[in-house]
Amino acid sequence: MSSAIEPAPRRVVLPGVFRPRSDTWLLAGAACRQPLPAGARVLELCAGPAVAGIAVARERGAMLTTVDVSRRAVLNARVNAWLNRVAIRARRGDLLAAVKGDRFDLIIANPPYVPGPRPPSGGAARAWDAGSRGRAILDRICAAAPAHLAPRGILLLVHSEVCDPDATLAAYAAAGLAADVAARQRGPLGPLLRKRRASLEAAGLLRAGQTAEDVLVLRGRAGA
Amino acid sequence: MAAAFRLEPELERLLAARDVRALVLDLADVGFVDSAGLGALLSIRERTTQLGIEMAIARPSDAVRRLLELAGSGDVVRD
Repeated sequence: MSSAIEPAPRRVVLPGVFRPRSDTWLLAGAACRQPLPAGARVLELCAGPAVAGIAVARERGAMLTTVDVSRRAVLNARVNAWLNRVAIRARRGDLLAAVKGDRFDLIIANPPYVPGPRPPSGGAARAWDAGSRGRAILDRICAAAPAHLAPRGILLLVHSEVCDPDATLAAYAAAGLAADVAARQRGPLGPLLRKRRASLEAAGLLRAGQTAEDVLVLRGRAGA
Repeated sequence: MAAAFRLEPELERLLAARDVRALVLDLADVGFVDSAGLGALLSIRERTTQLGIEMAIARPSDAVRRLLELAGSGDVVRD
């Protein structure tokens, strides 16, 4: 799947940093379509090479902040921002703890969401392993991000149908956000899900013989 | 950062010459490389790989070597 953003941001992806995939482009496309004020403050969490955030910053003239737990990913975000001549504030840290007290007009994330082992403390699998239901990171973002939205701010999270989109929408609503699906794309199961199909079927997260999945961008909008 | 902006077009010009087989960047006089400089070096590396040209960095400072290692690109250094 190629980019929905033309031209795609220039980029390098350093060894061990999560490579942009179809979900990255789905998120980037949805993010670029959101109504944003001039000079919008945009935050990308679990940013990796920060391709989606850089696309928004470039298309909309937004001010970009990124957060990632990996030092190499933070460096990668800075490098890619430079390759696209986009200003960036790239922080290393644990989700929203890295931007304490800050508010944003748009918060986006393509977090780890593959059901499996608990999130590891290091290594490449940190970019995808997300606990038995795939929601270890999602739930933390859903709990903490709404308080960082500016008035009329928008939260966009992308994840597979296998990790309970209704739980994301319910968490948005519980935080007072207007919740809906901003984008949806059907595609073949990714390699990680395919490899884990047996255990995912046993856990009831995949139907028997399921070979395709919906990937969704879930949107929560703050009031004025 | 201004140096990083100049580096890419300058090297593009050099690489466009015929019969370039290898590119060695001697960084002996470069004490520090920021993320812009790293971006320039990595995109030059990508370009040389596309062109089938071998690229190496010689005599990096300790700081530059550490940055390249953090970027997972320490193997570009030729000692």
